[in-house]
Amino acid sequence: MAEPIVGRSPRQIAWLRLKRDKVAMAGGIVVVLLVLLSLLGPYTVVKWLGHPPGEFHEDLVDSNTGLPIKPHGGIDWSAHFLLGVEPINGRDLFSRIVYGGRVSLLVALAATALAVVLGVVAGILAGYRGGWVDTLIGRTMDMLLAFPVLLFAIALAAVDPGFIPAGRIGVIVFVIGFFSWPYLGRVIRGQVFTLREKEFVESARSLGAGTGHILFRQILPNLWGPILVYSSLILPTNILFEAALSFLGAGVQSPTPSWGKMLADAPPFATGDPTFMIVPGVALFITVLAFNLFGDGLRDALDPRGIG
Amino acid sequence: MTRTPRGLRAAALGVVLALFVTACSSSSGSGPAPSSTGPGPVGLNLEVVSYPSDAAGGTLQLVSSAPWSSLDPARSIYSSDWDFMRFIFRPLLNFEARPGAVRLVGDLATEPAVPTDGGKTWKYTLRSGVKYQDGTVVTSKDVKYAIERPFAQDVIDGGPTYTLCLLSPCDADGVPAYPGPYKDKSPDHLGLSSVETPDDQTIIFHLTKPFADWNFVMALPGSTPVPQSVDQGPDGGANYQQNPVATGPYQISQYEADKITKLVRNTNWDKATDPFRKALPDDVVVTMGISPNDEDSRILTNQADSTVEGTGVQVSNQGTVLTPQYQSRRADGSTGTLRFLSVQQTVAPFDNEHCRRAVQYAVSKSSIQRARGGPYAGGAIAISTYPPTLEGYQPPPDKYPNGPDSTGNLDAARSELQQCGKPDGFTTNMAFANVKKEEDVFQSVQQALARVNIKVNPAQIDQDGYSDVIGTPTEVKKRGLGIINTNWAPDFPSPYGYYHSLVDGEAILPQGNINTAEINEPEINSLIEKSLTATDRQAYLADYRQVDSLTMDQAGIVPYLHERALVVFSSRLKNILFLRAFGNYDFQAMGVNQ
Repeated sequence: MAEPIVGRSPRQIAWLRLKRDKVAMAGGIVVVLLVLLSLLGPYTVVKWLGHPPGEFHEDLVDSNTGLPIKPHGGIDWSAHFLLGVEPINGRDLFSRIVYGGRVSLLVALAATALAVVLGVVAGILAGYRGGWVDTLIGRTMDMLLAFPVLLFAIALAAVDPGFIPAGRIGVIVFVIGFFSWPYLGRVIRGQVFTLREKEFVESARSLGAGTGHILFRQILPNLWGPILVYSSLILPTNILFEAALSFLGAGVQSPTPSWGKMLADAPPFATGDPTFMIVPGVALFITVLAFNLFGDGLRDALDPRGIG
Repeated sequence: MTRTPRGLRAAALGVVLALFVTACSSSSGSGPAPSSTGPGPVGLNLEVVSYPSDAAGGTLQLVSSAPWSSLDPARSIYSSDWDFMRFIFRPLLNFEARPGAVRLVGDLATEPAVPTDGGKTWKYTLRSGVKYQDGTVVTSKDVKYAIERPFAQDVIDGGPTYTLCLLSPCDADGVPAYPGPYKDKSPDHLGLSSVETPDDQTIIFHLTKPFADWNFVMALPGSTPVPQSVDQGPDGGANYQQNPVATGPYQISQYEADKITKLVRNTNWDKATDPFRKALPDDVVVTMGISPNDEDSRILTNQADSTVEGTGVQVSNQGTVLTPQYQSRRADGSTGTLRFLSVQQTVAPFDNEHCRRAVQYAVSKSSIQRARGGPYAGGAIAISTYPPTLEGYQPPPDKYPNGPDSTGNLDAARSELQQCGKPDGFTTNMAFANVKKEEDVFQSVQQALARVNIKVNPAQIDQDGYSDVIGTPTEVKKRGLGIINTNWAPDFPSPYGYYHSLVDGEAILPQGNINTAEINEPEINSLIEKSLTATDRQAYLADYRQVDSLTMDQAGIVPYLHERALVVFSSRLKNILFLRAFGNYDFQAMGVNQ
C-alpha cells in the first residue's frame, strides 16, 4: 500500500473494528432504541397513544372468559392498542411493555453498576495486594459463585413485606448485583496480577508514586476494556435474571409492569390469547439478543489479539 | 365452638344455591335477571335432576387434585369430602338428594328430631335393619361411641367440633370435661353421660345449652356409627381413616392416600332401609393427586366424569367450556361462598365508619367480578352478606348503591370521605394471597379506590400462610392491613352456621379468627344468642335478615360476590343433581352410561 502509515490509538482501532461489525452495530442500534424508548417512551409514544399502563379497559374484554374481544389479543391500531390488551382487565400491552422495559433496564443497569463497582474494587485489591487479602477475597468469590442465588432471592422476597414497591426494586438490585460481581472480580484480579509487574508500573513506583496513583492512574486505564466487555455481557444476563425473579413471584410486584410477571400470568390464557404470552416473550428475546450481539462485538473489537 | 383453620373452611363449601336460579329458570333463562342476582344458568338447569336415570352398572370415574381431608367421618372437614362420604357412611340425618332448597331427612335415624326441654333435648330413633359392611347390626351405642370420639382431640382431630361443648361442660379454654373414649374409665367406653341410649334403637342428646341447629350438626358425617371393636383395635383411633367401616351402599376396596380411592358395593346395605340413595354404579374410582388442568382435560375428553372439588374449571379452559358444544355438559352452581373485602376498624382511618362506607361506595364490583372469572365462573354481584341460597333469603335493600352497572358511586364515596374528615383521601394496605385471581382482585380495588384518592398499597401474602395472618387480629393490626380480601362458607347450611363465625362478637378469636372484620355489635350478638333458643323458624329467619342489615350498617364487610363455579361433566354422566347443602353435585346420585 502506498498510503502512509497513520498511527492510531487503541480506542480508534476498537471503534473502527466495531463499525465494521455489522451484526454488533445492529445490536447496538436496537439497544439504543430500547434505551430511548424506555427513557422517553412514557413521555412521548405512550402519552400520544393515550393508554397509561395501569388503566383498565374492561369493555375490550369478554366478561365471561376474560379474553380480549378483538382477535389477536385485542390488537386494534385504529384505537391505538398496538400490541393488544391484557386479559381480564384490558390494560394496554404496549404501554406495559414500555414501562416494563423501564423496570427491566433500570434493575439490570443498577445491578450491573453495583456488580462492576464491587468487582473492580475487589479485583484490584486482590490482584495488587496479593497475600492474605487475595486469599480472603478469592475465597469469598468462590463462596458467592457457589451460592444458590435463585433460592436466596426467593427467600428474601418472602421475608420482604412488600409494602413499598421501590424497596422491592432495591432488594432485587442488591440480590442480582451482589451475586454477579465475582465474575468480573476474577477477571480484574488476573489482569491486575500481570499489570502490577509491568515496566510502567515499576517505573512509576520507582519515581515514588503512591499506591492510589498507581492503582487509579496506571492500572485502572488498562482495565476499561475488560470492564466494558464484561458489563455488556452481564447486563443481558441480569435482564433475564430480573425476569426470572418476577416470573417466580420474587421480583417486581403488580401493578408495576414487568416482562417476567407478564410471562408468568400468560400461561392460563395461552390457548385463548397467545398474544399475551408472545409479546413479552419477544420483547425479552429481542432485548437480550441485542445486548449479547453488541457485547460480543465489543469484546472482539477490544481484543488486542484481534485482526485490525 | 372450635374452628378449623381459615383455609380449610374456605374450601369447606357450605350453604348453597338459591332463589335466583328459580327466578331465572322460570323466565326460561333467556332474559337478563336483576343485577343483584346475576344472569341465569349457563348450562344445566340445577333446579331439576339432569339426565335422570335408574340404570345400574358401570364405573363412575371421579378426579381430585387434593387428598381427602380424611376418610374418618369424624375428622374430615371439606364439604366435598362430606359429599363423597354419602357413598359410604350413614349419619343420623342427611341432606335429601333433591335439587332446590336444603331439606334434612332421617338417614340412620327415622327422621329429624323435634327438640324438647327448651331446645336442649334431642331424641332420635334408629331405623331397624341397618348393618355394617361385615353384617353386624348397627345400634344406638355405636352412634354414641362415634359422638364420643372427637372429644379425644389428641387422636381424632381436624373435623368439626360443634358437639364438644354442647355435650360436656367446657373450661375457659374451651376444653370439654369428658376426655374421649380412649381415656374413658367406664368398661364399655361409653361414659359420656349427656348422651343416653335407653335401647338399641334410641339415642337421646341432652345439651348443655339450647342449640337450635342441632339437627344440622347431626347431618354431618360425625354422627356415622363407628364399631367400637374396630376403633379400640389396631385399625382404630388415628388409623381408622385408613379403612373406615361402611354402612352405606359402597365400601372401600382400595385406598392409597393422594393416589386412588376405589369403592365397591357393600352387600350388607339394604336399599329398603335407605331413604334416598340410588347406588347406580357398580364401582366408583377416584383418581387423586392430579393437577387441576389435568382434571379438566380428562373430563373434557370423557376419561373422567366429574371432579370431587366442584370448584370449577381452570381459567385456561373457561373459554372452551363456554362454547355451545358444551352447553349440555356444563353447569354453574352457587357454591354458597361469600367473597368480600373485610375493612378493618382496628386500622386507622377505618375506625371511622364513614371511611369504611367510602370503600363500600367506591369499589367497582363489576371489575372485581371480571377478576374472579365473570358472572358464570366467578359469581353474582353481592349487595349484602345474605347468600341467595341460604334459607330465609329475601332480596335485601341495597344500602350502598354502587351505580347502575356496579362500577362505583364516586359522589357518595367522596361525601363519606368528607364526613370521615379525609376529603383528600388517605393511604392504606390491602392483604391478598399471592395467586393470580387474588392479585387481579387487588388491582381492581386499587384502581377503583384511586378514583377517590384512596391509595391502596399491596400487602401480598403467601397463600399457605394467608389464613394464619388474617385470622390473627394482632397481626392484622401490626401490619396495618386496612383491607383484607377473604371469603366465607359455613360448615352447615343454616343462618346460624353462616353468621355466628362471621359476625358474632363472641366468635372473635386470637387465632384462627373467622370474624375478620372484628364486628362486635351488641345488637348483632344478642340476635344470634336469641336464635339458639328460637322455636319459631320464621322469626328466626327474620332475625338473621336483621343481622345482615346491621352488618351492612356497620360497613366492615364489603360483599362483592356470591360465588359460582363453572363445572363440566363427561357426556356419559347421568342423574346429575346439585346439592345446595354442599354447593356441589351429589356424587352418590350419579350414574354412568355403559
